[in-house]
Amino acid sequence: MLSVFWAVLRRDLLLAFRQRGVLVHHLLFFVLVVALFPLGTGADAAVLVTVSPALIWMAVLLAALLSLQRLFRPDYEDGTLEQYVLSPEPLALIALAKVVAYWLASGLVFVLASPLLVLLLGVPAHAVPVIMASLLLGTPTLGLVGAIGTALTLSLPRAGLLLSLLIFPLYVPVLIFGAGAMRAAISGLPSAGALYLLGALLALGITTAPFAIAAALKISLE
Amino acid sequence: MTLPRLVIRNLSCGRGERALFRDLDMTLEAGEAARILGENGSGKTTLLRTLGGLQSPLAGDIEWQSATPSDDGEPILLQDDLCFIGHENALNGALTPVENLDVLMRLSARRVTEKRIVETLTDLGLKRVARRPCERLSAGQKRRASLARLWLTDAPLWLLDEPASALDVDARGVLCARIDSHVSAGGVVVFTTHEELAIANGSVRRVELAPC
Repeated sequence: MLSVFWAVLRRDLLLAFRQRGVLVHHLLFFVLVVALFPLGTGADAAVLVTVSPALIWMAVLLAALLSLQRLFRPDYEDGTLEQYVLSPEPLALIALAKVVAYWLASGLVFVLASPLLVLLLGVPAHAVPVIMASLLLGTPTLGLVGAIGTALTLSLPRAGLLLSLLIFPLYVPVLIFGAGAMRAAISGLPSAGALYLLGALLALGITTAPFAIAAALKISLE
Repeated sequence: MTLPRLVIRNLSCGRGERALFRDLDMTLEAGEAARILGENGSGKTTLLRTLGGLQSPLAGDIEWQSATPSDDGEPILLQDDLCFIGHENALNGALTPVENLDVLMRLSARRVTEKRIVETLTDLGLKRVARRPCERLSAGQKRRASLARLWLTDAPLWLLDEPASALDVDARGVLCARIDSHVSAGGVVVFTTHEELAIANGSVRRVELAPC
């Protein structure tokens, strides 16, 4: 049963590597959203530091929305998705493997790029570990929740807008606690509480989202 | 040991609420193949998808009797015994035929060595392209690579949607021979084709889908 998990994970990572141009686009998008922001606010360092938590998270949300479109779409179009659903192996496990691979190739990259970006915004260096931790705990949840939305909107031709309407409200808790942890860390307050809650959301996501994704995929194929 | 058997009773299928055909009755014993006939839009693909379990029937039921003895007392489901080849090839363009087939076989819970995949592709005349991204293959080559699953699987029940599309005469002959040998060995095949497939030994039932 686990062999199918590794097989799908390996396949998707291999695909991500072969199509690494797409990854670079998503990363560039993320970096550009953050880098363009100061041009609008002016060079007031204090303002930038204050808005940086919201800014980083909004950039992550937008980049996630962009990259989620490709999570199941190619498989849906070339018929591989039918084979996932027909497999005697649990579909939820296959879906989880796909989301894990997706996160390793996009969310994790954002996490690794974030220290550079927050330092660019003038955030004090002591807050960087907490910022990374909050992204590390928050982005997988974004992937899991987003995958439900993507799976539901698969059979619709132009699903982009509907997808954002569907999943942005569900991103609210992650946004609140993720940005909350960052704000606390920047002003030197304890941020453990918010991080714990992000962890709890992630645990909830990993245990329940795969089943929702599986059900949504089946509906999309009917 | 029981022989595999596919029993279809009063099956009505359709898209959404609208039925495409009603009350299909058919029993396929081991060693039987059924060719589904009907004009475009008569529900051939819908029937295959319903049999595979991709969509639920509007009415009626589908029963699969497996020949494989189960080792832990759990019943063997249709999904465990199934090889489904749909309209699309299920090949990702950025992966090679070998990589695609490896994952497809694992998805059907069958493990096949890479050596065997390469051998099968060689037999099907795809040796040169076995390790080339599928997007660089011609339509016929892609179809052949997708059909290679039929040589790799040991599943008794095959559901094939237009398996011969984009194939040349030679490849079609090879496919017929494979379906033939599978049926002779006690397998069950349900397929759709526009052109006649010459299957010599096994009995091929013709099933006409009448629009309702």
